[in-house]
Amino acid sequence: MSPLDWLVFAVYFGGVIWFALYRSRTNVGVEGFFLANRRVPWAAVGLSVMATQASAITFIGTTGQAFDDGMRFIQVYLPQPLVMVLLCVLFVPFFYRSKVFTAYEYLENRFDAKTRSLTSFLFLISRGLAAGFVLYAPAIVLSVIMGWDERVTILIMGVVTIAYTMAGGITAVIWTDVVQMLMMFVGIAVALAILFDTLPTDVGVAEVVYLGGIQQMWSSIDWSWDPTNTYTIWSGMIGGFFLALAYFGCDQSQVQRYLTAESLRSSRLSLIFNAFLKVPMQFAILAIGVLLFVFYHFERPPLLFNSAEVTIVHESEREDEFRSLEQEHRDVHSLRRQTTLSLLEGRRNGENVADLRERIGGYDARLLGVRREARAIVSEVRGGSSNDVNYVFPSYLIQYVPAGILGLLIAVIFAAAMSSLDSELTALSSATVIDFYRRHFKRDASEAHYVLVSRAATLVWGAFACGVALYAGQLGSLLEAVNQVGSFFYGSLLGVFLLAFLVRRADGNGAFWGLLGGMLAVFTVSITTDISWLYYNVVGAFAVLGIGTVVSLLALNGSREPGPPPR
Amino acid sequence: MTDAEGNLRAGEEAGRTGRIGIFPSWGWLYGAVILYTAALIVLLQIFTTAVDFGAP
Repeated sequence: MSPLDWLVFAVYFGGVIWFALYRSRTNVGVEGFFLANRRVPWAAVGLSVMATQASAITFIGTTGQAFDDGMRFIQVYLPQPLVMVLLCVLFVPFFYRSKVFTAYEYLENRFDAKTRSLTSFLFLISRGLAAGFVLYAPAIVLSVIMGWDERVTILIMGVVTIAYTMAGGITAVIWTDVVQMLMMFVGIAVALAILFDTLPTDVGVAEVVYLGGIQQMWSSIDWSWDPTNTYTIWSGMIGGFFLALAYFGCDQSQVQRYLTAESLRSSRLSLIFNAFLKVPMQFAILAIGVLLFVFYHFERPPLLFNSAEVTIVHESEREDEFRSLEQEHRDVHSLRRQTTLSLLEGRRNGENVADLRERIGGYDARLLGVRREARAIVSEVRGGSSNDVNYVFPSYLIQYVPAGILGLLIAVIFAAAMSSLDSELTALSSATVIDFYRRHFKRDASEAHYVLVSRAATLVWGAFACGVALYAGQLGSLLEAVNQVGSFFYGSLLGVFLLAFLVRRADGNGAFWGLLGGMLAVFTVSITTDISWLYYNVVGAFAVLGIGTVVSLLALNGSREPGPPPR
Repeated sequence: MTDAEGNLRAGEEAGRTGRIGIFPSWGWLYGAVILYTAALIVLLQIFTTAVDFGAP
């Protein structure tokens, strides 16, 4: 990066942190630290909800995915507006009326202490490790692209985020998210503009749409019924619906956001704001990936975008084989470029270009095959490889974006990572202090004491996330296992809340055993079927509802006493 | 009355309390979001078909 990029980067971070701390100066007590004294305007809450979901990997991974696979990923986001409506109608009024600090606090009011503690504990384990991944995933990409040691990247993001979250609590987090989300909107617009600017002068919107369309990269909807395929309209609308409902309705990192709103009306408006903006935003991010696909018809991309892995293979005994693939990639790309230019020329002159279109399809397939072979070599040399698509967008930024704007866009990627991490930290801290410390260890301490403990909990969870991120390279398969456990847990957690809301006779034992049964059901389905992981959330939710209802009714029949009244 | 019924009732009460921007009530706003989702799917389907230049 040039000195101008560094200046932009530094001014951005300094400004964001000052703004966050300035906004949080009037926080009062533990409710101020965790819920901003319930006085945040709806637009700020809405942007924070959006920023919490949009991690750095969303920004760089999603563009890479569209570069490789087109727009199909958009289908996972399509049910989100409907989820927002259901949250507004069913979940939000309930959380708001209960005046709880955490989503799990209600489960003690409705069921019992063990259900609250189990759900909160599962959240802490799952999210604590996930916070490390939120730091690690973008850090390795940024390190490779910028040539920094990954520990430096992790520590810059980690220490800055811990500092402002400790100092300002949820208010600092929300107002930082607001700025960071607005910067992401600017970043998306700037990236699209620069991509168009770096295309050849005679290639405009019509040509971009046409070239992407030849390989069906714009294809957004797939109506095929295949439950093993994650990217169909059915997987998106059914599996994605339950995933989003679990995430926005039961995950403390999101529930905490809309509990900070100044009124029930504001909470709802913040979610409706997301209902309208989320899908267009994801469409724009995916479009960047397809534009990159078109851009690299005219500019030669590297065989693999992760330069660190290329260097390792170049120094291995497979070097000759890899270099021959690089040569083949160069040759095929050159042929594709010539054919693409001929195609556009022929199309402008009204000629029949079917043959050229077919040849381009053949070259694309060959380039894909060469990249696949190259990835296989990397996997064999390294004993596993990174996801190369994550490096496509950052690699483009470094090579083609002008000074000043590059600093801004790199800051946006850092911002995306930090706006997810800060939400994780404040959610982890609130669950630790409210669901465990204040519930089980010290019930009647002063407000100042709880704020102090909350800050300490933020520091401890932040240090834990940094520690996981620093050693994540050695944890590899363990991190995958953690993500897997997370998908087992999410749908089942949703099931517990649905049981609480919808089944009047459900009791604590039903919820507790339903939760364990739901996780077991998901585990069984995952090892005995090939269905997409998106459906795990559906299985978990319905298993908990079924098992929880049966256990509750059996206990009720045994004791002949009614369950606790719902609050 | 279950929590869901209570919340629905609370929602209905809130819906009766006044306009939400250009919408007469929350029910109208929710209806608009549902229509918006359907419109997104239809538009994306049209887009998918219209720019599929790979099809013979």
